[in-house]
Amino acid sequence: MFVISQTDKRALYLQIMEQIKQKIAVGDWATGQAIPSIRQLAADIGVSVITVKRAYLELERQGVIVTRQGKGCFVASDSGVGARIREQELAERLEQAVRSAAMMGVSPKNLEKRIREIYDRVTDEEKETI
Amino acid sequence: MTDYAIELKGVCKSYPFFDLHHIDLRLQRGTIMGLIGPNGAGKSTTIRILMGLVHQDSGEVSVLGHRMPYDQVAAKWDIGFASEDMRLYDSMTLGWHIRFMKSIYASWDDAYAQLLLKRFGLNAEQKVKGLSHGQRVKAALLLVFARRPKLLVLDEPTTGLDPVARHEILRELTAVMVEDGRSILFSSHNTQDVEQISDQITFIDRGRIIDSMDKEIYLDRWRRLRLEVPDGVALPELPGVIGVQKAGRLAVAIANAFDPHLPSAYESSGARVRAVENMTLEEIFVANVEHSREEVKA
Amino acid sequence: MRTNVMLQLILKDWRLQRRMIVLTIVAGVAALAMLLMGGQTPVVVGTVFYFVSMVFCACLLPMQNIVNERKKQTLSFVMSLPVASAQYGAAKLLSTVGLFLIPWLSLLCAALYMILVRHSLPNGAIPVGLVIMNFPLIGFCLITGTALVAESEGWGTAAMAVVNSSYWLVWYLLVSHIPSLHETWSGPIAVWTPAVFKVLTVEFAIIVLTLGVTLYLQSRKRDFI
Repeated sequence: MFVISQTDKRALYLQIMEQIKQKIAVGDWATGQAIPSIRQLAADIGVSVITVKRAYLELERQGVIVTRQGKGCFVASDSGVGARIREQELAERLEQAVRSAAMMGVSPKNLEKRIREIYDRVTDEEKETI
Repeated sequence: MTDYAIELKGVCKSYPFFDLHHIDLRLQRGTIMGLIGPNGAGKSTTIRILMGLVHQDSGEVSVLGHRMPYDQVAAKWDIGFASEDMRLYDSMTLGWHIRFMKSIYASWDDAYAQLLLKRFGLNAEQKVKGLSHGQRVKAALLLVFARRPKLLVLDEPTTGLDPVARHEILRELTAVMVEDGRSILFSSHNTQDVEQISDQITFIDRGRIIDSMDKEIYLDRWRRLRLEVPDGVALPELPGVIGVQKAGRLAVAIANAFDPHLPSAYESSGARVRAVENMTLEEIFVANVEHSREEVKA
Repeated sequence: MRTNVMLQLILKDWRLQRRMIVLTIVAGVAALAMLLMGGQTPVVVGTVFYFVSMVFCACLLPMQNIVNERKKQTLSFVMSLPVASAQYGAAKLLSTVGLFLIPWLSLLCAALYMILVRHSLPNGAIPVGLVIMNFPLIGFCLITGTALVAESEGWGTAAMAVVNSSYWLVWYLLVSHIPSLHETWSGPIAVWTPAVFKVLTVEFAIIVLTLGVTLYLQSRKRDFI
């Protein structure tokens, strides 16, 4: 089930990519499984074909899905896909955070300190909830 | 079979208080084009010309390979048309209209019509005069959808509809595209709808086409940059930026041909880039129209 | 394929206007029934109402069948069908005239029945009756032609007003210049004088001319809107 948000600041195709990756990460779309065609998914979500096409192209470039000529699209069939997705997500978010910091003129040392503070806080919170 | 479902070349039409200037428009088969523009921009006129209902003063019009308006009868067998000012026969029921369409079009899919009646919440036994505005719009669209035409030309299909009805219509429109080779041209004020389902976007204002291109590429070209401009720093005029608004030490630059080097270009002039934001189609619409009107004046 | 669409358009018009046609026939027949009552007043009243029901239809049918299509914005719906402006015009003219002929011919037959079989009126009334029956038919053609070609409610209404006020004037002129018309109408024999034939020929010519000009002007139109 795909739900796209009008208030999400990111482009549509990025939202779709993320939701596909989530589906794969949690196992709803199993590795090696056939996934809906571009046209079918576009109709299911209610978006333009070109947006889904872009999402699929990007995902293929990232190695998350593969297209087999004449057969359709499939989830990439290696077991590392789920982990690779999560790894990619983390890389993207770190990049974003560091870019923002750099734009604001935060020094690397300061940045490290702040990351450590957040990390400590988050792990403490987790300990408390357990 | 030509590649284009619709092709307008250099189409001009003059009215006492309005002119359509040199319209070039191409809709690729198997895609959806959203036609947007302010009121009175010429959307409806363009649509009437491509339907062969109005004869252009000059220029060529080709729809599904047929020359318009000369070949309009042949073309209309495969075109489903609905416009905002269109009305059905008040004293007749929706069921009568369905039978009427069935008697003309061999391609009528009755099972699909019945399904749509349920989906849209319409009653075939009800007379048209008893329908609300939204129901009437949905009824007219049902009569178009159930024919499964190769080309759908819709003038403001979601205008005046409540969010639920709009959602139902958008669903059906995107469902049409599952079948390869079917095309849709629709005009709308609702930029959200256009942004969501169009493969291609065409902007029209004051009788001229301002932009016409792939939606994803188009949205990617527009950015809003929020800048901090310290005293004594002059913002450079950069290519791809169509306008800068400045108030005190803060400025907003709108780019319609965004380049990844743009932020650093600003930074090197002494300004600081606080944010680079994507723009919604509505924001692009307003910025684009304002910009193009200034250009025409100059 | 094309003739199928035109046929469906004509059938559609019949379906939309049939109530009015039926009402006209009922009113005309009811008016004629008054003649059975005998006596001066019922005959006069009946004849007048008989004429009025034809005039009513002659006015309302073009307005409802032609003008309303544009006024009520159903024209866009028809235009989206596989039909061109010329075919639409032709189908519209055919359906409107065809629809009018139904009550006109029916009531003409009903009147002839009353005269020849029921003897409610003398046979002498037949020639002049025919001349009078053509009045609403001519009026109808003029209103229809105007409505179709001018594409406006204003012009259609103007045509109605002119036509309706002319019936009496034309009748008066005819009667004062062709005395043979009313000399024999109360006689037992239908007298067909050359004058009567001339008048009928002129009436027929006007009908043909009006419809012909309408068709010609309609075919020259380029745009639906």
